Amino acid sequence: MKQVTVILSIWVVGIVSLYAQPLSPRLANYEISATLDVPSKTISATEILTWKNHTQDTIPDLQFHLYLNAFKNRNSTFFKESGGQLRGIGLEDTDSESVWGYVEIESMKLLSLNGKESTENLTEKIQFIQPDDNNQDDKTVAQVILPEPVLPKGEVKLEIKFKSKLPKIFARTGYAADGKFFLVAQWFPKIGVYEGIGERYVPLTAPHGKWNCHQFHGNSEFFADFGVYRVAITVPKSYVVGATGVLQSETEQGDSKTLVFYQEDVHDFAWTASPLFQVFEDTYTSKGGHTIKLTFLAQPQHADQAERHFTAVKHTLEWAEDWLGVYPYSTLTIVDPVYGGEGAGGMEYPTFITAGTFWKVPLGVKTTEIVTVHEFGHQYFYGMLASNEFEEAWLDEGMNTWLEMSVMRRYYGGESGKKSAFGDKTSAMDFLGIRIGDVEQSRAGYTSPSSAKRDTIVKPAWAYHRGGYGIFSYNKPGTMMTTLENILGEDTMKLVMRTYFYRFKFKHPTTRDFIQTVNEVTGKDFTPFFTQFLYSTVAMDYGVQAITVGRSDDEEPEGVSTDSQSKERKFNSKVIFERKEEAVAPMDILIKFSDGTEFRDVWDGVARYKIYEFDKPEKVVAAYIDSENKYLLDVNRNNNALTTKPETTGFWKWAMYVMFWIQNVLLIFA
Amino acid sequence: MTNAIQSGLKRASTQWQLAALVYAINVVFALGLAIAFKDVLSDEFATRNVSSRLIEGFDFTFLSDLNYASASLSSLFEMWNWTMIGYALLSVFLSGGMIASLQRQAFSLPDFFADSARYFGRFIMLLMFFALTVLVPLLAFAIFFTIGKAHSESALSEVPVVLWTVAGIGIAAIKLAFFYLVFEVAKFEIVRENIKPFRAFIGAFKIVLKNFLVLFGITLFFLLCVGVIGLVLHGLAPKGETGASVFVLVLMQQVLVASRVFFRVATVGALLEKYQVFKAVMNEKKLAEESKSNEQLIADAMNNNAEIKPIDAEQTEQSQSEVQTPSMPGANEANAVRNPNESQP
Repeated sequence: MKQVTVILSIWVVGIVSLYAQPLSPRLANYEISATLDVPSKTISATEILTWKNHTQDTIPDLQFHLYLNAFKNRNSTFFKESGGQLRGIGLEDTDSESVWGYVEIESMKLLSLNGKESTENLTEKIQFIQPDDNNQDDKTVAQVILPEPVLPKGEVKLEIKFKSKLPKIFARTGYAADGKFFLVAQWFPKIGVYEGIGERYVPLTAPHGKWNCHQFHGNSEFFADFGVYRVAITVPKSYVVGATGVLQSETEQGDSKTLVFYQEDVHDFAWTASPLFQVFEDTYTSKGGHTIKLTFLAQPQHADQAERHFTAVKHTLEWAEDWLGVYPYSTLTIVDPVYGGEGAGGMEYPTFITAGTFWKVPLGVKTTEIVTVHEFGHQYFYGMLASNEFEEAWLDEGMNTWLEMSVMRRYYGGESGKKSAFGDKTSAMDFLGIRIGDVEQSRAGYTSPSSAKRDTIVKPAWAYHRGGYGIFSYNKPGTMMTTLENILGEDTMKLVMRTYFYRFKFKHPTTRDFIQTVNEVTGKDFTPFFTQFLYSTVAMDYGVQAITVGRSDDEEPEGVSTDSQSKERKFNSKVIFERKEEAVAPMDILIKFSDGTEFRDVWDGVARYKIYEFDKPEKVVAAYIDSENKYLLDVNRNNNALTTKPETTGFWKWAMYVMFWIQNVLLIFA
Repeated sequence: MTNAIQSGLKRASTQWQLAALVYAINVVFALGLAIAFKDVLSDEFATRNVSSRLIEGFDFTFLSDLNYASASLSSLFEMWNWTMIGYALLSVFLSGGMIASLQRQAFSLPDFFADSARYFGRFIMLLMFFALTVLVPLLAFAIFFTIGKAHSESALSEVPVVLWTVAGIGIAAIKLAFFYLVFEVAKFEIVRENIKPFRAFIGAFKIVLKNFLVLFGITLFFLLCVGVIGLVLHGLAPKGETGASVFVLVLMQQVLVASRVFFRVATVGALLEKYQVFKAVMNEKKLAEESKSNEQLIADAMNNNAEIKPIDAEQTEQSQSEVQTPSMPGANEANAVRNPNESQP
């Protein structure tokens, strides 16, 4: 009865739209009433799902993600692929039943189909499917064959009663601190995405569209359609709750309370509850004119870091609204996970992110800012540009890494970081003499000899070789996007990204869409660039191989005075540039002469070598390839310059530092 | 303690050749390694326009791209490892000569190296004992860390584990300091008493256990002196962006290292001074105890004699004048200063 009352309350309260016009197609709309039982770590809930068939297909079935079933036992695809760990954090005490999780559909009833009301019970028709690997023990995708298909442009409405048992946090979602902290994500039966003909990679020649509903893998995230969420959450009264969307109402009943959250035009809903939170609030005025309410739910020992989190979000908002577009939502909640619940940190959900910090992190160590900037950036790359994280993880992670690098260097990298990506030496760390830029560290994650040629960027998230997901979804594409920005220049890159955002926000863009946008806006064909760096394993390494200078052996022309004073001494200078790896790109060449003059050229970079030869009174003294440091993708920048005069002052300086430290270590034994 | 510190400073000043020798050997080793490091970088990168980047400061991109020059670097690191081991052994060797010279309060190069050779084998054994004792502070740290972790889990905060870890590091450092002092004093024992390493270690353990605060205080004082000099120099140090400022920076670094060496010698001198005082006190106590014990024996013996025979007064006076008080073991040696060059059976 209590649940029915709550559901009716949802209907009555707040059917005021947040936006004048829908921002998205609103294909998957949820009304959920959920009650958290802290001792058993379970959520009992009822979900009313209204799903629209936006295609011309007649669709006979529905497919759902049941992500929590990845934590049911050791036989799930997630567990088999990940070994029971994510980002270095493993599930503990696996012999205890309480640490495992699952979602169980208790009943599924058809409420209406194609405009006709119904009371058909579909519970017995639910079956688990494994579209990716045929692992029969994996129960993260369910299929329901409908009594009648959903007609083109038709609609189906379901009532789903379910129970979610939350796992102990290690992979994004669950409980920690024995129930004093909950981060509830991917917790409800979520309908998959039906792609019609011509959408994403469904060819125009296909007879019909298909469901895009992958199993939950060790290395994959999520994919869903936009819609409206109205969620009523009942928790113990002492628990502070944060969630996606706007808080519409809060009512108390006995020892519990019910909070109703509402958000339009999002594709997921996550929430948190804990009695430990200290709540901090701030605001930001969007370029769109509306006020964004910022909330930071902090652990008590991190309360002094609220300002750092808010500042990071505001910097990102300022940059993103300039480079991409307006953030349309009116809220953002930042969650600081409890000690022991770090596995829930560093994640993104619509208008709701989890960060993660440490007690008394020095200001010179920017891990707090990096994670906050990155997770908020996902509101754009993933939140509004809702690419498929299963199949093209780089479109959100890689592009967002570029966003993170861009924000960090401009706001935390000093004047040199503002001027260029390569100039960013301090945005990640500037502490006790150790300086590292966020651009540098992201690049370094890709360029090492053991990584650079290991895999491609564009491939299903679960198909990367061991450890490749991080490098090829984050580091390499982030470096690639920064390189693209250097090549295009800031103004053109901004135009490209604004166009991409404007065209594909609240849709499901693909790699192909992005490449087409780049080509169209620049008026040039960047397909070869992307073919090399997105679809192949080639690496880039251009260098200056040699400079040779000798006396020129010119013969004196006949009939010319042999007055020795008029003879000009000439030098034959030869400069050899080389391409050491397989990636090809046009490179700017700069050659300097002894009289201060310069020679510039553009080498197409195709051949293995390019030789420049000069017969001049002036000698060549230095040669540079990619002198403006555009190609951060070049895996070895230490060979991009060559001079004829050795310079060793810098080495002496560091040798003396090394000598000093060696002397002090040796004196321990004295 | 003040007397010991003054004595240490005086010994280090008057025997400045000791500090000079240690510093010179330290510079030779370290400079060799540093030049090798510079040569590797120069061979690879002198004409690569990298030097100017390194002048500005730490360059992470240069460091990460060094992966592509790893062959020459790995042989450099191997050379460093062997050099460090060699220096450690040489330091142990030289410490024998240092301690003997400081005790003698006179420096002579031939005597210095003769003493170094004499004690080297036993000092190496001591080093091994010390290496084993490092397990104790490690265990202490592990215990503190484990307690901190448990507290953090119950407190739902990382703060306890941080605080307990810091406390654990502090306790481990004190324990390490304790065993380091035992190592030092054991060397003194070997030089003074000419005994075997294990006996020296046990003896030193007892001395340090009784007098840890004083000995630690002396060591800490000299460390603080180095610290103060370091802070002052750090405040004055140039950025090192030109050849001249790099040179000034190097000079300042060497001033610090030289002062550290000087204070190291002063520390050994001060500890030695204190050690000698402790030994004198211990010997006095030991003699006093032995003397007391002998008096008791004599008294007991006399009482026993009185019970057996009737006492004839005239005979008693006569026999008493004939009885000689046995000499107390070591009584003639109470204040003798042993010649460390004499060997004992």
